[in-house]
Amino acid sequence: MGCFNSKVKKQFRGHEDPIALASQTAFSVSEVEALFELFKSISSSVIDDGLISKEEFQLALFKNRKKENLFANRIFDLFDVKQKGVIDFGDFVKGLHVFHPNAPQEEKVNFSFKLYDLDGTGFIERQEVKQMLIALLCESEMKLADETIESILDKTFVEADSNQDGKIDKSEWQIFVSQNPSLLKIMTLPYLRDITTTFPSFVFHSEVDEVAT
Amino acid sequence: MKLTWLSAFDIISLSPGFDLSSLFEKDKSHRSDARFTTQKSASTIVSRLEEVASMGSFKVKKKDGTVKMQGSKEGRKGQLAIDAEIFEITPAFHVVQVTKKSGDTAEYSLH
Repeated sequence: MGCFNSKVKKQFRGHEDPIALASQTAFSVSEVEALFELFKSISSSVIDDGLISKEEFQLALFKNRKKENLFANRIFDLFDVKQKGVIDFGDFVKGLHVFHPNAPQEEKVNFSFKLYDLDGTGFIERQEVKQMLIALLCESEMKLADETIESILDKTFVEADSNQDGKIDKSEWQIFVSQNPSLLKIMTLPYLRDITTTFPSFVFHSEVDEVAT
Repeated sequence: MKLTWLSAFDIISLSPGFDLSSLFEKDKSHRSDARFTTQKSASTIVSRLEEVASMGSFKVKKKDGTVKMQGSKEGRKGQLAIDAEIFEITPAFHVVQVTKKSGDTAEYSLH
């Protein structure tokens, strides 16, 4: 597989090989290269170290590096697979892969389950859902009476928690999501289909062509 | 009009913290959707939307919790079509999600 243009290799030095990333994800090599352009701009926005920090992630998402958000934190933590407090290029591509329209449904279901399982116990507990609901209401400056919140939780758990043990396990989540497919809407970014036009890659890669993926 | 009921997870997923599309957008003013909350009743919301639609010469169709508006004038990219979907959190609390279905984004932003 030695057809890699040396100019391209220099660009990606210190980062995971785009060809390897393309083979593990729903992205083509040129799409991975386009993602690199996006990665470079996000990872250099506060400190130019080739890594995305929590602050840089917040800046890219909210245009405000100081904005703390429970849900953005969850996404960041799930992208940060090695739990180093930073997202490298490989993490970035593999994380975004799950949001690709062509990523397997199962991966989206798994990711969303982990997203809502705040303390990583393998269960989405009622208390966690309440915490997230309150956080959302807070950030949207919506006020709901505690009884209203409890009744929303009641209705949700009646539907989702089939063995009524007060928590949602993985298989209950899978069933709930299959009955309510709109819940996975957040797990797909249609933008990822047009990534090469949004972020044209300036890497000339005549030797690395689509056939390789 | 029959409205869509929101579970706790539907409400939670409204957070912009989950919306990674902002990573790809340099300029927020070109978004083709918007969301807002209101304490008005569903029928008030629908009447208000119908009012706005008639001011902009839109044809209005109501279906399953969504108010569909279609512009009658041919714009740069065909007719402007906008959907406003109304979700009920409680009878006195609604979320309205407005999406551009077709047409030119610049014309859509004006409305």
